[in-house]
Amino acid sequence: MSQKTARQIRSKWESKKWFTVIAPSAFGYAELGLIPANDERNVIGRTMEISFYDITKDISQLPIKLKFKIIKVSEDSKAYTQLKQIEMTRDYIRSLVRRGVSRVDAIKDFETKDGAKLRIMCMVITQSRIKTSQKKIMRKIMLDLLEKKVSETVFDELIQEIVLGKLATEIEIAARKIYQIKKAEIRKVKVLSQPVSPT
Amino acid sequence: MSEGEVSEKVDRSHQLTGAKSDVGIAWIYASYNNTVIHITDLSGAETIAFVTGGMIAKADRDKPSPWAAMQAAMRAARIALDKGIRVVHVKVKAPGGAGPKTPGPGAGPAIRALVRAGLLVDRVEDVTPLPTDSIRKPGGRRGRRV
Repeated sequence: MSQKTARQIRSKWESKKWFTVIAPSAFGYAELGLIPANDERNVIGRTMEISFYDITKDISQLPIKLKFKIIKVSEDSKAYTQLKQIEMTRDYIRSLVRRGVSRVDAIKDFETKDGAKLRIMCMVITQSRIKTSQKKIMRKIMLDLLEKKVSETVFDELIQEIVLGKLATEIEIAARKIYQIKKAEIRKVKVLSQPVSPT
Repeated sequence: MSEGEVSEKVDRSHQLTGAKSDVGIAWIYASYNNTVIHITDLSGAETIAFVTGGMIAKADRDKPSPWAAMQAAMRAARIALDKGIRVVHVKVKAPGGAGPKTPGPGAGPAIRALVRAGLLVDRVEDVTPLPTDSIRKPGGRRGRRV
């Protein structure tokens, strides 16, 4: 009896179709992996989280996690995705924040040039503890820079700059005017709405 | 971002027609009451193996024990290997929320058992749901009345 059910389960698994998940244009349509499903309707709406390391094979990009949502499935069982979220792993953020340093967070919603809405959470770690007034100015500088930068850039370019750490470097340079910076990071980006023009 | 640098596993699967993935995610939920080992595909939507400490242990007090976690992980790994999974990304999880934020006693042994059983553990990550503010602890204003 139990053998029979086991075989049934096995055949159920064998009968599943496999779909190749493809990254959006900002990541050069890289292959993200394969996922099984009974039907292609089931695949749409699924999310998949991978490390940026899986695309680039650069070990320093291991803590960057990317979440993609499947929006479309083509006939040759390829699943096309949209970016949903960029996040740093928790252990990486934890390793930056130590005793005797200050962490300045800045979180705000921004709109890109092509009308995509993003919630960007960025973070600066200073060399030593700083006063609240310094933190406030630093936060203002960060938000102003982000506002200016994001409104001038298109979605795909912005995403590339974020994952490759260019935007974080810019923030670091700008915030250095106030105090010595140990590290600046874009901690998390939530994509609230996709760009208006179809990609 | 260059497309030439796709991983080996993707390359191999590309050559075969009707290729299958050999990568999965092993979610290990370790609380002080039980250990749940759940191996899924990369999207997390398709279950490959699901074994808990309670399926192994006879007494309820043994459900969270390291031994039960080890046996459960072994069993889950065997099912996964049977279905063609070779590599897993481990995601360890504690109850979180209002409860304890560190994984229970079953987490460590479960990961070790997965490795022992022949699965390749690629990376281990903590995915405990940490509140950015906090929810109210259960028990109400007058506390838990036993």
